[in-house]
Amino acid sequence: MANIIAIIPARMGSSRFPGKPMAKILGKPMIGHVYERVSKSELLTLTAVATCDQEIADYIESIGGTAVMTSDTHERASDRCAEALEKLERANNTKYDIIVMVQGDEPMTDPGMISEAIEPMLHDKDILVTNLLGKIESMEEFEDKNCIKVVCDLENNALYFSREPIPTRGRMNKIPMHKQVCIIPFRRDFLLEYIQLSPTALEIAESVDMMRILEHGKKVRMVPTSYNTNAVDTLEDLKKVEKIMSTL
Amino acid sequence: MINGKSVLVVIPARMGGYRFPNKPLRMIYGKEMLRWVWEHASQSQYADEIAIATPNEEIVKACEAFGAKVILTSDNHRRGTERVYEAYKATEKKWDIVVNFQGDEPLVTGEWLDKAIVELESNSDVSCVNLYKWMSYNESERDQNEVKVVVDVQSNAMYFSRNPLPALWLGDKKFECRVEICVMPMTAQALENFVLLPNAYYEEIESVDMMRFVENGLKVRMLECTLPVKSVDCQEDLDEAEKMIEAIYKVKDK
Repeated sequence: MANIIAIIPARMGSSRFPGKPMAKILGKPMIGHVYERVSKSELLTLTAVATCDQEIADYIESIGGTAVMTSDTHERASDRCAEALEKLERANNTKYDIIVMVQGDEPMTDPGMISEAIEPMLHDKDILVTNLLGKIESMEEFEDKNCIKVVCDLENNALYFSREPIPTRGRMNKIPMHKQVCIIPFRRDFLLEYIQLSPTALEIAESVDMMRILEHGKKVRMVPTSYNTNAVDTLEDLKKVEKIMSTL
Repeated sequence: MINGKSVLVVIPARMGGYRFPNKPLRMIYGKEMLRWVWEHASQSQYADEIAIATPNEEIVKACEAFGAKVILTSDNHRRGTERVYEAYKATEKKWDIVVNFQGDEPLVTGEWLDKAIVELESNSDVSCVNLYKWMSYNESERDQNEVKVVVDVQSNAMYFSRNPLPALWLGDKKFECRVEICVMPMTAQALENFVLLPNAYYEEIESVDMMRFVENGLKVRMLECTLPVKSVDCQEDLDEAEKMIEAIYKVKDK
């Protein structure tokens, strides 16, 4: 059996929504919702939050979770994950096989989404990293710069990730509209290879970690998810998600 | 010939739709646009044969008048590259490299065509080469006739779009966009593959031939063209192209 862990990178200093991980949904910090839901996955041997903020680490430990303190200079979540991975391996004197990076902005993450994202890697050794692929349901979401749109090749490898609404509308009545859902399993060695690759122009332009992989000519396999997803990027999103979760 | 490999240049041209009828035969500084393209292609050091491929009798006549070889092709092609393929087959010769040189690029010279051919010839993992130029974000956003392209660290195309790419993110960063110039040398094998490969999704949605290669995992290498060029899709473009050509040839003609 592969030794699979999840790492949730989180920081307070987001420019769009400062303090986001600790913002409360139904009385509980968002990061707490994510942590608890992810750690329910039976595929995982460990779930940890990687953060540069003591406040977040203290909170995670207070609910009985694992937190790893990381540097506050990371530009990308993947870099933070890699640092946490190395620290966890040293502390536990073990080597993990797959590291699932879960962005802390999906408070409704279902453990089933972790299984979906990992599944193709268990069958195909050549797949180094996957992302979940969600359907975009509205034009408003399609145009939202916080929503990262994805176009894929015929094997469902990502071609490009963009904040721009792609593909182009207007030439056909109906276009496929897909978004990145940030459940991102990396093979261990590939995550460590990732942080050695130099940052790339489109990665910086679009502010999308996965672009570094694509620009270096490597593949990111996209896995369609059957779950509805509700990412929180703004206070408005948070209110919306809180409403949905209060009915469950 | 380049390194013993034979090169066919096909210039696909058709009278075109309602947007800009009669496009290939519009006059630019005293010559049909198509003739400018053909004459430029004829300057190539590597092209062994140059043929214009068209479904229109009127274009056939015009080409014969200025001395170009012309191949009459079907009117049913949905993509320019399919027209190029029909012409390639119609030559009944064996070619190693086939260039799709669109008839609406009157400013691309034989020298730049040759640079694209060299790029293809020097990279055996590449199926096709396109030239590109830079365009401001604002102009890129305005003009959906221009095809924008994003590339990886080796300058291989990742995606072609009518929308400007990369995104204008958070409004605080501005980018210039790479814009496709439709001068496209490809290996004969890639052209054979093009008609065999399944039609791709984004090829249709963006209306870009190259997406068929990209979506099927074949490499399309983008090469920057530093020569000022202008593709012609409307009267305004034509006027601008004429000014540019006039500026070049007035001096030369004197």
